[in-house]
Amino acid sequence: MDDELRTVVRRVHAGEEAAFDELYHLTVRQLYRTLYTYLMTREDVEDVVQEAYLKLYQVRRKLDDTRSVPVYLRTIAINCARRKFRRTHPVTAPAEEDDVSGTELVKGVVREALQQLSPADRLVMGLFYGDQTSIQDICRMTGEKEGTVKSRLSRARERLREVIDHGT
Amino acid sequence: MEHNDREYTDMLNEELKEVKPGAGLHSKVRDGIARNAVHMHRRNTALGAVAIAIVLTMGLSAVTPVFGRNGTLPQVITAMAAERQAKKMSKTLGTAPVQQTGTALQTSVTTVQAISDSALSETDGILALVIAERSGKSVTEVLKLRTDGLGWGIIMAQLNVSGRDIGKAMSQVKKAVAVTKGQGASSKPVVSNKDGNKIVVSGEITGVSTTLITVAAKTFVIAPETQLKYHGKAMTSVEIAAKLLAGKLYATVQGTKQADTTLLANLIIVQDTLEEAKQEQVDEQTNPSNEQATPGNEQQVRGKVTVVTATALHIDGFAPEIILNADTKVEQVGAGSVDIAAIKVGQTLQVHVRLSGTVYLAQQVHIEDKYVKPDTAVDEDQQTNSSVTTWQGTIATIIPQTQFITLTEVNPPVIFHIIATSVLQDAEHKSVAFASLVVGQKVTITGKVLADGSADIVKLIVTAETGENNGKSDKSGNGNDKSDNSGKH
Repeated sequence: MDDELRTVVRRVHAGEEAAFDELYHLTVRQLYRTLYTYLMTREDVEDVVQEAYLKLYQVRRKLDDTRSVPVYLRTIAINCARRKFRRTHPVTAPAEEDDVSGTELVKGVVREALQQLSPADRLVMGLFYGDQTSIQDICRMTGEKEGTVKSRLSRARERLREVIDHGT
Repeated sequence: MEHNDREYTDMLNEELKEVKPGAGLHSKVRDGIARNAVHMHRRNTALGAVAIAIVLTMGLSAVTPVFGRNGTLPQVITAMAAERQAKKMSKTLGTAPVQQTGTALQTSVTTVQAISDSALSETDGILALVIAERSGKSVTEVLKLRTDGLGWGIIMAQLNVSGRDIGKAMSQVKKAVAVTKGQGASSKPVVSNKDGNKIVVSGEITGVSTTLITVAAKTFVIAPETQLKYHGKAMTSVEIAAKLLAGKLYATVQGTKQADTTLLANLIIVQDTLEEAKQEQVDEQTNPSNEQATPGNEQQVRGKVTVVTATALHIDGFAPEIILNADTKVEQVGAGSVDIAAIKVGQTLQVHVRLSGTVYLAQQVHIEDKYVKPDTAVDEDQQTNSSVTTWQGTIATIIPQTQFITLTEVNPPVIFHIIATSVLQDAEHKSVAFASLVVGQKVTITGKVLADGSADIVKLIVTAETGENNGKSDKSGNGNDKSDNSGKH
């Protein structure tokens, strides 16, 4: 996978249009899931995905295979998602940490528990457990300090456990 | 914290397993990219058009007056630079910057006045002066172009004055003003040689006699026609010598190199300080037309009389008419205070004028040509003339009928004749009548010795009143109080 991605990045860098489509197919699923844990609506996620790939396309000639393109792509996407979140939730934006407002999900207890987490906590949870991303990469993507990321994970786990165990 | 916290991993994977991008998302991404490409293309096209327009405008503006009366772009840029320099100069000069610029550039007073009378700002005034000076055109022409609405850039182009010329002129002004203010002036005496023969020296007076004066190690001959001035008034070399005894004195000497390499002093301006002396020289250097800068609207004009009436005067080299009135004081070398009627065509005058509105009023007129007595050829100030001698003594005898007097200290006795041209003065150089002379008064007599040993009085100055015979004239014709001592000098 890594070798394949590296090859594709080289071709994108060389200006091959078709290679960008291949890059899309190699990275979009993971990106989609990451964004979903943060935004939790397909419509918003798709908007952000489009914006993120457009930005990646604009800098495609500057990409190099030594750099982790998926991390870079998700960093772009998370920033786009944050901006979108602020636009769509202008009043609650400052209280982003506590915002657990509505989503289209959710069936079952786990989904309900996820819904009760703040978007930022959800994002970190999704990146760490869902995408198996390292703490360092999460810090890089979100721009947060390691302690903050770990606190979010701890809080999210606690809350999830609480909801699952007690149903509240 | 480990990823192998399987419970949560499994939980999330289970929940998110159905979360995957739809089939149409790739198309949407591609559409977005395509739309962006079109947008970027249009934007780049527009930017390119704007850039081309700017380049074309710049190119066009370099050759055509796209800025209307301000001219082409280079002309506008030149004007801006020139105006910036003029503004800076105006700030540097402080008070009366146009006048100071005019002085530094040696422009005439009328030129400066023309600018002062115009509605131009000080910055524009400086620029107008500089452009006129550099182009060789009259300031009136420059002002006309400006009042026609032309920008400085286009005016400079029309008059063939470059930005570099403006820069040079500004430097010249700056240097001249620095000298005037004493900046950069060394402690050395100032010596300049404006042309081959003329020389101006400023410095300490280190020696003086009736015929020579040494200033800043240069010795000048004092001729009869040499003018000596101290605070605007005439003075003699004897008075300079007396003042030198009291302390240091300085002078600016305008002289002429003679064929035998001696220096002849034409004008000696005695000052109390070196700065004043140097200032005199700067004024002289910066005003070759003898339009010396003086405070306010006053100035000094020198030249030959071309036209003179009872109320007006024209001097060669000074265009405006100079008004003469009852307040105008007139003096002439060899005669002291004289009437306006003494001013004749062809005489060389120094006139102190004051600009009142648009009229130049003569405050003081100094006739440099010596007064010539109508009935005698004797030059009363001809100290070097062997027949003219000076005596000091006490009046011993007064003979009213023949108007003779004798002095006690003069031995052998000399009979002094009061003649028609004799000048009788008191110690303050005020005229006195023969009838007021009394025996016992101390007097100094300058006179011409006649063949019979008597002398015609050229000038008699009463230096001190008598104590014993004050107010009592002995006009009996009997000589008394004869002295053994000769008072001849």
